[in-house]
Amino acid sequence: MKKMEADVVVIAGGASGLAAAVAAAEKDASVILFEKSSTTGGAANMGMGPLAVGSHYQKDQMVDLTVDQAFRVLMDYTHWRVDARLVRKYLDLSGSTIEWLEGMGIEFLGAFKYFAQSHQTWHIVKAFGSNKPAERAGSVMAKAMTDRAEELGVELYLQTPVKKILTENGKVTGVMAQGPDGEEIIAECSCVIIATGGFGDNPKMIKEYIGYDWGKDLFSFRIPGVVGDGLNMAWEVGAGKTEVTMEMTFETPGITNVYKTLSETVRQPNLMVNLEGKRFYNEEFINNTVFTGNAICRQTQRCGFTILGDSVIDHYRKNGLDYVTMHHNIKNLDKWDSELNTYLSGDRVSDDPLAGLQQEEQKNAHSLYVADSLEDLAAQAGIDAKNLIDTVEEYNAMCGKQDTFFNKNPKYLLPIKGPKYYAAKHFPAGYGSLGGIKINDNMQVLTDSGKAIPGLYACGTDVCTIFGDSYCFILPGNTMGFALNSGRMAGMNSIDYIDSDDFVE
Amino acid sequence: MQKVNITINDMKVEAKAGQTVLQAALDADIYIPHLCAHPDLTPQGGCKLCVVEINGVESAVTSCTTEVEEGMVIRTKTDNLSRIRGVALELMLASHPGDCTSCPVYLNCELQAMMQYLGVAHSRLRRIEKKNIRINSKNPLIVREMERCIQCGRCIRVCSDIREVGILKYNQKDGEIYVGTENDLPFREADCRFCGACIEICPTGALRDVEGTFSKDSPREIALTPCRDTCPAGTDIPKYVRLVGEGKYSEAVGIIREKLPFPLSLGYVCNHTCETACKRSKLNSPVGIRSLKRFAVENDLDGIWKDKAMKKQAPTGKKVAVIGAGPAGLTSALYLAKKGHAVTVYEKLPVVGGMMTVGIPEYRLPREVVKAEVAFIENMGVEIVTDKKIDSALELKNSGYDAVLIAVGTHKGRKLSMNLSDQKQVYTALEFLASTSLKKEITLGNKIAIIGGGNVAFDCARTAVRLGIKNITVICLEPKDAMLADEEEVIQAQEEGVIIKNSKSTIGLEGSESGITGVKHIDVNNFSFGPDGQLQLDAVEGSESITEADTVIFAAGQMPDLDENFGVELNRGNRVAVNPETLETDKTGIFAAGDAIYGTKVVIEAVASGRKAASEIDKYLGGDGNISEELVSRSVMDKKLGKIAGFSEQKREETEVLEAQSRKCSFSKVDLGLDENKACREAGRCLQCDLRIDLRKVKFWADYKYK
Amino acid sequence: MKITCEKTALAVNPAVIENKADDLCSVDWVKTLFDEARRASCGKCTFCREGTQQIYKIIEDITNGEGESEDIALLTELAQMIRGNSSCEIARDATGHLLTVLEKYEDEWDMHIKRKRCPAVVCKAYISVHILPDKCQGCTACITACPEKAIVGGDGLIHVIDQEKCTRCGECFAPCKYDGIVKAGAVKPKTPETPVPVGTFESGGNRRRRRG
Repeated sequence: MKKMEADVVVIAGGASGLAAAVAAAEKDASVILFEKSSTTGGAANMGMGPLAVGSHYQKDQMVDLTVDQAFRVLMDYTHWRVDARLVRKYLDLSGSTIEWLEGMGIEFLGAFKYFAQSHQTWHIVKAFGSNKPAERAGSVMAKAMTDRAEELGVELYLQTPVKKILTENGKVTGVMAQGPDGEEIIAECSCVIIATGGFGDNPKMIKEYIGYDWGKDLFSFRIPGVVGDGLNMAWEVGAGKTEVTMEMTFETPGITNVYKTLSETVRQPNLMVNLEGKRFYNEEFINNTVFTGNAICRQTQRCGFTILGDSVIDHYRKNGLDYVTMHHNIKNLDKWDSELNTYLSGDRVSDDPLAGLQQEEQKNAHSLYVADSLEDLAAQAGIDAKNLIDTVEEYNAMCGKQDTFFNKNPKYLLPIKGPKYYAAKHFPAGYGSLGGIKINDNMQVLTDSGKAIPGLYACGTDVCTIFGDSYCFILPGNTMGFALNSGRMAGMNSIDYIDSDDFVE
Repeated sequence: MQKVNITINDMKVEAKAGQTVLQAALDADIYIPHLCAHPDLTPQGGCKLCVVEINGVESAVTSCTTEVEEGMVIRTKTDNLSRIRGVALELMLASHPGDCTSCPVYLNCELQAMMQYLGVAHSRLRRIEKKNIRINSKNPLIVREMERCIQCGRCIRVCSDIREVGILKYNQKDGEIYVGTENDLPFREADCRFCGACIEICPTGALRDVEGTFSKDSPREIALTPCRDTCPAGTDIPKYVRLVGEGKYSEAVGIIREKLPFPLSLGYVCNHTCETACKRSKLNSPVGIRSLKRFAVENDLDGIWKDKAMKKQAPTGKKVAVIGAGPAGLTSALYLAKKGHAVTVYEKLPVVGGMMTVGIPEYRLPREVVKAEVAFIENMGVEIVTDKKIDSALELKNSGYDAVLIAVGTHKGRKLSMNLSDQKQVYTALEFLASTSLKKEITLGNKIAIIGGGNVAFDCARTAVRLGIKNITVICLEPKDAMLADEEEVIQAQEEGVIIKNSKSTIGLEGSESGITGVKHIDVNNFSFGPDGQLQLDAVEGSESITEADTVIFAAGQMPDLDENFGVELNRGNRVAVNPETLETDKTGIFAAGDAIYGTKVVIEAVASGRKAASEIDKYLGGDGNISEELVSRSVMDKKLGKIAGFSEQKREETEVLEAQSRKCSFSKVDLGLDENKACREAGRCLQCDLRIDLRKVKFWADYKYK
Repeated sequence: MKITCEKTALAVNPAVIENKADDLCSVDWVKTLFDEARRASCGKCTFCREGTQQIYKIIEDITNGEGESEDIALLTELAQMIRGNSSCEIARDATGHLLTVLEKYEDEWDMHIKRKRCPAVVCKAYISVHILPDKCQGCTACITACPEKAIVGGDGLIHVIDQEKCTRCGECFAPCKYDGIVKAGAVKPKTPETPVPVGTFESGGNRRRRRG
């Protein structure tokens, strides 16, 4: 057994944990950071950058979104069902956090939107050699923050999972961790900050707390290692529970991220129906993946279909796709035929170089149907045939005129005609869990009855309930933004607590 | 070792002559990024990430291929170097998937860490989608998701330079380069030795073990050898299998003896969970570990382990009593004696060995084998008192012992509660087996029905065969494909003429006070156990039938033969209640181990439990509780495996078994074991999973002091 | 202990590019060079293995109308980097030629990327193939030779190439005994839309209809 001692112990070194560690150390606290994997950055390594409001980039780019406006947007979006004090503090801090990060050597490309209707809050990190947004640019941040933390004397222990939070008389006294060689470590401290990133990779907890069967009606990201460590440890020492949600989106299992052209083509604003063969969504908004995901999970068996015909495919061949995303940047249908053939050959797993990225459930999913008639298409996909035929007929009749039901923008009304017809089956997906540990706006962990547990703080995804029931994509960069800013707040507040009269040895 | 003085980034560093600049820097805790370099491999200088600038040398050089020289002045961080590294990493990432979230090595990936360190992400370069990387990438043990491969060539080098198997190479097709085998053969056909070195050394998630190969609960070093990981006693199986292959039988026995005092008995009857876990079973069939163990012991002529094994610590003056001379009690007694305590074992039967002597029939485990192994324990100063029943552990403790171990096993058979079950010629399996073993009279008829489907039921059936009874039926609840007994037991019993009736639940006995005439049972579709362990049946209505029998044996479970007078708290089924951490009962100084605490299990479990008890009792008595031993010194393992044609297809060597006709009429041993040629070949089938543990781990940037 | 690749340089005649003929496209020439280079790479060194592949891909894009304005700078940076740090002659040699060509024929590269033209009329994405109506004798030899069945016409009719189907493979040039098939870049010869009898097509027809 090894003994250690510090003012603050931070559990996990993702974006929120690193922010907490740096913020605490900047207040001259001694900090120990335990991370269970071999490197830092956590899920933020996959991201591209945080939300901020009022940064100098936004000023330079003439973005006139104020904190007041952003606050209003978020509170309207959530119908004030979230902690308004926390939201306000988060947004207030977010602009300065950009400069705080720049002080560590992180450069940003500027402020970006995620899709047309969203606000320009997404501050994308600049990666080596390029002025283009790059996937995984978030990993650049991990290094800079780690360097800063160590520069401030934070002791970083990798491959060292924390197993237990230690308390005495309801007060935090330390943690028990396990070193890479299996050695037990007891780290005594005045404050513990939990920052473990939720439980996106724990199907059992997803089932229990969110109510979905991963691989059946949910295909969310499974970032390895994000298994709910922090939540379970917090609950074990009496932390209260909050409702847990997921940043819900949608995907076409086995196709999304594997067959990029197929995937992007079935995510265009074309006719969508449910198993009953009826429309349920204004498809114009399909690029708001959150809204689309929400609409899909309300349908029978939590699935929905995009219906296409060769008429649509030919249109895209000539004119390019309607919606092009920054992530995949697929503009044309050059690879439609080759990807379709590979997919239909049934050997879809072994032929595509990216197929290995999928979990077994996704690999085995059958998500794209092709038929010579709508009847056959309906039969294959299990959609009500009569309704589908009626719906398509009705839809085609509206094309060139007006969508008399949802009033979709007429430029997205493309008639669906053969010879071949296609149906792509979408399911809810998402990024991970949100929330679980009850906190106040000082990031202090509370019991169910609302009493603060002395010395226990939590931040990031483990506590993020400020989006309400749906992820707030209209203010993009929100998850990483909340992680960094809540981490920063937890770090600062924990030291303020140690320095305050409330603190008892 | 000659020292060389160099300067790295203005720091004076003392390097060893002949070292590379990279190694010298890393040894001094100065990080230089590197991917294709690995401390165990010949440097290739290919990835270019380890470039450094050296005073007097015009262009940047790869530090992994540059030897240190006296007075060298080296810079590892300049703008020029950052550019070279950045572009090199960008080029590698151009063909690497853009999404890491579903990669199982997320956050444990050297490439991902490199992206962090160098600040590089996917960006300005064209995406390269390589088409040929998936050729023949499937095999039963190694996941090869080659879209993640960055062609650093570490796997190629470890396979050729260290293992000398050399099946991997850079292949070229349609203008693309990928890592594959000669002619793109599947790994099996390419004669891969499946040692896993390529997996161990891969910096990305491209090469991985098939999910579920290793336990996630054990420490990595142990988990990597599933045989050893699953052995309850933790025997170092890969080591002794290798020694058998080398003809060093005595050394092999030494390795086994480090963990258990009944190597030969277990060589006959161990339930070998190691073989179930053996990675080789995914290729064709597991290594015959049990037969190799037996072969080693039977051919151990030198006993070179004996001197070390006979060592005892100085007497402590403490007295320990062990109740029960079965595998748990005797194992514990041995290690306690070695720790210097005075140990007396009390056995209620006239013989020693417990179930090994009165439960397991002689044709499976010859009695002299057990006797010899017990004799060794007695030689170590353990006193064994037979024919001495202990009625109260508490009284025994109070009679002058510092500690007592209850290791009484489960010697009380259980009959299903039904009418006529207390009639004559209705026995429990133990009554029957023990009487036979102890050569006691027992009245049997001509038609025997045995109720139960585990190994004990078959022990009864096959013992009855050897007693000359012709009509023997085993009535078993489980269906044919889910029987509890070992497959070889079932097959050999059938060869000997035993009839098995599957999927039948016994509902009553037929007959009268004057004698049993049959067993009544009903067909069962399905059964399960309720929350309280209560059997729940889905019986076929109207399917009752009767098996004629004049003798019935219940092989339906056993429990410890204890009652409340024994002086310790008992759980359900008479099991002794213990603290699972210390094996101590509710009475201070009284411990329990083996079947008596967890119900009927197998010999190896009893041995493991006995070891734990010895350690805990030693601690209780003031010792350090350390009973680990090294009876054979570990020589450096030969890292080389070499290529063997047809390695994957090598068939398991089966032991020679007596013909049914000749074995039926006697209790002599059925399994004749392996001969030397077979044993050598069988040991050669081992994949040597433990070799990869020796490959050094690569540290990530965050682990270095100067980075 | 410097490790170098055992491969030696590619067999290239730099003279060809030093004084390049008008119908030699420097972009296409370097593309072929890098196709050879990537096929000759032994695989051990990142700059050679991935670098030649990446450069080949960028140049291929440039010849296919998918070049971007940053590509010249990117190619130059990559080429310099590879030339300076690759382990082997192959990659050093190939990138050397690339740098020479990029400097010497900058205008030609610019034309490919920005104006989508190949001045040497070599890169297939930027050219079309035509049958000159005043040369065609309606012999059908080219129709037989076309693997895509992209040429329409019959005995005594001026043949016409269906530009949608034509892949610019060039199989039709040799069979034509009348030198009637040509490649064209930005300026295309006048041809009938559908086959008409030999001798009836007036290429300057428009002017005569002018009033007055």
